Amino acid sequence: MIHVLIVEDSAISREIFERTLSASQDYVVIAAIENAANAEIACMRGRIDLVLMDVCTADDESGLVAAAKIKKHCPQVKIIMMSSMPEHSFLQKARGCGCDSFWYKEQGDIGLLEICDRTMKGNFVWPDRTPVVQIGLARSDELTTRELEVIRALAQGYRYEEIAEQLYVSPNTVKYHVKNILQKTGFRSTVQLVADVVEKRLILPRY
Amino acid sequence: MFDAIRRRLTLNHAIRESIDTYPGGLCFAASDGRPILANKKMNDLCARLTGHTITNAERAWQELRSVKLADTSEGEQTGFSTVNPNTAQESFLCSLTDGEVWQFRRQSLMLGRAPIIQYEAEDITDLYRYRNRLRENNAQAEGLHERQRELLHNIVQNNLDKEILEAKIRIHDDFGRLLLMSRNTLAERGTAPEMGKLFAAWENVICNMENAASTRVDSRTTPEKELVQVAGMIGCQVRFNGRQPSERKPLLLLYAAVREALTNAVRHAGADCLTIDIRDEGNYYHAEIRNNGQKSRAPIQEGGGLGNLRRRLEQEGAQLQIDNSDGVTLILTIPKE
Repeated sequence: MIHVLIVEDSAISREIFERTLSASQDYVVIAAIENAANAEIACMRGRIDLVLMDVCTADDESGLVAAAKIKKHCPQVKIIMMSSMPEHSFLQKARGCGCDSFWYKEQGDIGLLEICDRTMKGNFVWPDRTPVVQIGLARSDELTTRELEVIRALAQGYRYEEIAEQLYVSPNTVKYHVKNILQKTGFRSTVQLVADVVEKRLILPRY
Repeated sequence: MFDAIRRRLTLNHAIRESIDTYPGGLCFAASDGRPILANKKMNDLCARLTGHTITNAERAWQELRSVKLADTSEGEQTGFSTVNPNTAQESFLCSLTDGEVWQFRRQSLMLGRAPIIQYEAEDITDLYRYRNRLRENNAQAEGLHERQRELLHNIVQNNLDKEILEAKIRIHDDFGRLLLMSRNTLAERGTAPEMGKLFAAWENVICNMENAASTRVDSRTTPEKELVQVAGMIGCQVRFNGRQPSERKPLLLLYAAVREALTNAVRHAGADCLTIDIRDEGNYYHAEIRNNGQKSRAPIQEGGGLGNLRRRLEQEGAQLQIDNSDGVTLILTIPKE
């Protein structure tokens, strides 16, 4: 029997995941909680084999931070990171935290039970890419990684000089990226751009 | 001999003429202030600013300093150098009544073995005006940037509010429609199957409302309930004494500290009970978190967890003290605002 911890801030989703897993005789849900900061405590005594972890949880606590802590102290626990957001950096960050698999909740290309089974067999199940959203006139996959890094820094309120320092480039290079991004998306200003990427959840500055 | 004197006079005259035609002010003086050579411009500037020409260069320098512009005090970053310790150069700005701005500089020179003080004046009216305009523009840009930063910060929250509002509107619409249907069915004395349909529709909308509320706004899981639940999973009891903060920020900070204390107490001291005493002290909350685990008098190493907690608390104006005289106790002072 595989002992599961569900970390998900939406009560409806928690209930759906619990029902889906209880349909299988292999899984038993030990707890379903809404705050990722409590997940590390729940895993401490070795009672949990698998964590289904949402990235954005209650009280703005990050599932990514919680996953990194769990993997540090309890590396035997398998973690499936879940998200419904197309935020471009989640995949990379989840890999960095040592997660075993990643599941886009609403994409529907793989079921919850299937990803749990494959993960528990030792497979690493990862989507090829993040879901694509429309940002102004451009598709999100038309923006380069560097351009997305610049947009993230803009969304966090940094100036061009500060962004340049963060990315180890010159302020002129930052301006060049911004000019290209605005050209691709057709927005007139960076505020318009940031408002759209945040609304479409391509970038979540808090996570 | 007459030729030599004539040549010397001609040379003096040429020097005098050339420094008088120099557009800036120039004066050379001995270290006691005795003027050796001063051009017309320097005398003219000195007269316009102090009321007399140069009789003693050092005294004139001190008088000019007393009428210098307020934003050129030594050590202040003004965009114009004030004191350069490498060349013993000192400078300040003075403004004339017609709006012209002059920069005065003093520098020590060595002529053979004799020290000579060189005083210079340079017209920087345009430069000064550009600098002031740049400062104004920078201040304006800073204000705009602050507004933009605030705007970006609000975008995330606004999106969340928008979703909550949309859910509320949907529930409100469903409620209104059902109320109208109920009124019509009752007024027209509807049949039993109609009443049954209506009843089912009411059940449905109430269920939706509960789900929406528990999803976003009024979660049935409280922070205390969830923490007690996970603490129970690792065999540790959590007891709260006193009223917990009603404000969101102090509450989140308190729980962050409780989680850290709980993890450490179970991991390092084998505790099975954690007690949190909370006191409302008017403007702030005082909380003490202690456990019943093994006592150790060894100094506490503030690693990643405790260090991060301290940083988070201090960022929000709260304070953390660690007392290990009788087991490890975390003492918190958390402001309400």
